[in-house]
Amino acid sequence: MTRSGASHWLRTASLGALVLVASAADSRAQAWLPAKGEGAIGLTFGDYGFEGHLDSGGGHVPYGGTHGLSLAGDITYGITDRFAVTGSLPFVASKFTGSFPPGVLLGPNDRDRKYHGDFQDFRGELRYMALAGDLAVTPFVGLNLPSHDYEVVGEAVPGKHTKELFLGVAAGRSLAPLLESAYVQARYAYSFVEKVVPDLEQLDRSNIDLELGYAATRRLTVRAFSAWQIGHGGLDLEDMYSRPDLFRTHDRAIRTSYFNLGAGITFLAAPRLELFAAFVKTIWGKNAHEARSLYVGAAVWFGGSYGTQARSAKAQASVRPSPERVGSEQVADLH
Amino acid sequence: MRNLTLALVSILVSAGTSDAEACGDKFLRVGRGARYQRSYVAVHPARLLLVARPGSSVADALKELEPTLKRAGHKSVVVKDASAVADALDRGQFNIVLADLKDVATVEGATRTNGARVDVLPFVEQPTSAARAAVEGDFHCVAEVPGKKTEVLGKIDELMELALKGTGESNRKRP
Repeated sequence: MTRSGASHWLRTASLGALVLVASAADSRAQAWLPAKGEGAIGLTFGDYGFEGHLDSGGGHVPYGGTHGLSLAGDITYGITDRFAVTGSLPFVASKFTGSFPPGVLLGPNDRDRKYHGDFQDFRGELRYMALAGDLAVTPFVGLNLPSHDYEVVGEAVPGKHTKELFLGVAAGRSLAPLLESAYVQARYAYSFVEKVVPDLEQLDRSNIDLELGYAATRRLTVRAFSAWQIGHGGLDLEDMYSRPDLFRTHDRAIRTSYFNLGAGITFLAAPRLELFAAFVKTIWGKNAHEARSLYVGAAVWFGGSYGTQARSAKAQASVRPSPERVGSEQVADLH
Repeated sequence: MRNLTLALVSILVSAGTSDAEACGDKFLRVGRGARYQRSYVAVHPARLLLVARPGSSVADALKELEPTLKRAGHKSVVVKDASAVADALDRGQFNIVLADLKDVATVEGATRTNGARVDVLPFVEQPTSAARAAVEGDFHCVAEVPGKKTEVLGKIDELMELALKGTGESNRKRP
């Protein structure tokens, strides 16, 4: 099989699998999974912006400011009590808002300084909860596949258009009885990133996420989280001195590392409806956006029933009156 | 910063391209939290005693719930008869007994005899409106069969919160 043939097969199979199991995405992998037959459909609106970049020494570079608006749909589903599948597809509209030194030519979407929207990447993930309970350990594997051949040159683009295979493990622990109503989650993922720059051998990265959550009430959870990315290969911004040919694709070729901090709330507005919001800010970075972003969204949960066999049995038994039926007369016996 | 400026200018001059650089993600996946308040994770992990009496219409539902309870962080023990509750209470400590409404009187008798501070979550199968109203008149929390697993987990957390208040209040509204 040729490389392009294998690539096509991989993409087709992956997309097919996503459709067949009706899965795909709750944002970041979690240690705790939905129950068998339970799932959620979510929609997240994002506002992402940065005034400039951070160079390889972490210094502020006031060029290339961009604003992005996104709408991401996601679905997650519990195939068994320990095995779940998730997937997502964001639509991203971005606008070049900053500047470059005089003479630098802008990308095709940057010149009019208007929003340009496009679908970004499919992202699917399979998770298996190896350990369940107050300590959950969940390995996962996933794919990131560009949804189509979108624009990658310039600032106002939806994404990097790279195929990625990622695997890792998430762990979560209730903090009771030390801290009632609180939990902590950690996640590590290693991403094998498609080599989109011919002479760069490695563009892989590691992501380490940490989350601390507290259920302030049964309806309201507050959380704080961090996201640390470590780029394992690629160029520094300053490498563009000697590699001007790669500058046009610098963000796809660059070794991006950053540390983001975030805070969020999740509110259970109805038994099956969650509303959530989160704010994220880049605290430190190398060859990265100096970004801040805000997300709000909603998720509707479905499934997760139990005792349906009893209903079926009851329907059959309704042909003849059953002494098992719970009626007001039996309740009265308990008074 | 000055270095990058120079780099940008020199690239422009030396490369003479008509395109600027590609730029990456404009969207972060931030998650929704651990869905803690809906009991993926038990807010208050509990020791549960499940009374799955053979012949009870609720028994199968309780057995079906057991993996979910464990997954949420609860510890559970299953007994097959309400009369076995007394022995179970002697052998271990429990926070809540999950039982068919029809077994609640027996369970409560066992807890009184044992002197254990154990609450009871009654399960009722497809109650009529009148039956539901009557049960809800007696108990703060009642679980129905069929129902949603997360709702049962939420009720367990409610009862645990009630117990943690230390006011002596239990699920039963009136003795």
